[in-house]
Amino acid sequence: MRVVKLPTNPKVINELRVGEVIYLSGLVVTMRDLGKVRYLRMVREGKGLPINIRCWGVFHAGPIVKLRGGKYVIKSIGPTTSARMDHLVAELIKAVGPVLFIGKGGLGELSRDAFRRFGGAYVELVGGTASLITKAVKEVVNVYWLDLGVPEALWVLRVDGLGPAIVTMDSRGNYLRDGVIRRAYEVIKELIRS
Amino acid sequence: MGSVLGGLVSTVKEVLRKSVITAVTRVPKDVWEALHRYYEVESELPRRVLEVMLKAVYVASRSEVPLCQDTGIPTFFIRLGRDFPLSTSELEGLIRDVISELTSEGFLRPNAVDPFTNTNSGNNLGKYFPVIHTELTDGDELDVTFVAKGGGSEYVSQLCMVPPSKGIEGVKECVLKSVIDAGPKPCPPVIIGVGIAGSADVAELLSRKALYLRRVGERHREEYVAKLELELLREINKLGLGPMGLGGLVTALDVHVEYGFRHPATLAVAITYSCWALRRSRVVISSDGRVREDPNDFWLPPWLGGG
Repeated sequence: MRVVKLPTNPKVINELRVGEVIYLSGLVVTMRDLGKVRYLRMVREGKGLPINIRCWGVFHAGPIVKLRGGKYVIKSIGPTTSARMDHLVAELIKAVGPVLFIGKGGLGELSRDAFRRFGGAYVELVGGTASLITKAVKEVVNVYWLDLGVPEALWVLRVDGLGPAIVTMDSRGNYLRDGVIRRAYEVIKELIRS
Repeated sequence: MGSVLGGLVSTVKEVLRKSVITAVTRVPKDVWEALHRYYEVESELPRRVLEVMLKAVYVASRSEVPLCQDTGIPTFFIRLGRDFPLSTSELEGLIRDVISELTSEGFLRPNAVDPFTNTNSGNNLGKYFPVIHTELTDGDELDVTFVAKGGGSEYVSQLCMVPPSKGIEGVKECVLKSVIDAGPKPCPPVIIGVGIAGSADVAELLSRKALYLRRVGERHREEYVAKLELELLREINKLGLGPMGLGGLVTALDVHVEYGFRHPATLAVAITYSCWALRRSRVVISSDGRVREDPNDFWLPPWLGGG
């Protein structure tokens, strides 16, 4: 069982290869659609950012949170569909360099191209398994941009053994689903013709 | 009379609370059994993925932690008997109270967002949020099906206006293409509802009824439709997308079709997806306060391998 400590360095992220199953420990930050849009706008405008996500684990997730005794507690957290944010992932990589994205549901051609040119990798958790994933979250370290609402805010979390995380896209531009998708298109051609 | 009605109101509220909590912390038995059947025949990565799913269901049900953090758009399909002593607006008021309470208690994620301002209302209440479909029926019973409809599977919803000359073959083509387009996004193995009708709105609604009100393995009562469901299921699984779209034998657990008549010029086909984590509960309340929970939905999932 391989554990990757986060944040890390470009070498560790860029040497991950599709098909590897890993577990993540250390700090990750959640960021989804609106968070990425704001982050990119602030980079463009040269504004001070709450965190520099270079070599961080950026978790495509929007948690359920409870305030307990003045502290935030994660009640349930798990991955959201990354494919929706393909163009935003690519722009973030161009802006900051390698990042380890954590999500589910795959990424597209724009991310693949950005990973190849600027570094970066993508791991997937099993969607809908928040009851297990939440156990790996040890602490809410900080939260930014709560004005975007709970799901869209940037939650900085300390995690221990977050996984299994399957590497599905790597810095060489490999995508674990390439073969599966190609075969599905061959099958559908046969089915529709007949 | 006032206190009798008050008693019924508090019963309905309690039942709604329990229904939502039960639904978001497990999958129904029919879904679990279908997942488990494939867990036993898949190998390597797809088997491991199914194993994680089944373990997550067990842990969610025992710890009362939402199975998926996206508790979706709270959706209610209601059949309200004319002689049941609550009006539709009273019932909707109760539903909104329950949804808002469970959101502040951490059972539901606040998901209601104003599309113009991107402001999250924070309590899962907003225009047309939660979604409530109510049909009036004869009798004195209240029949409520709740579904936590996740956003990941909603994102890949599809509508095809098929040229009528293509007929049912055109319907099949639309469904198969939509499954490939959806790919890994809706968290396969999915459950699919297909609605066929003359107009887009009816096709859409029927696709939701097919998905939410039927059970995995439950075939349409008309032979032609049942045959189409099985054909679609077989062909979708031939695509080989597999659990989480990483390859494997099972891409869909079931396909349910409902239909209405079409217009000579139109053949509307709507496709609605549920992720593998279909979170649903059905309960019937009589006007005398008797409560009948569907044992398929209100159950305790076992650890892997049963027992």
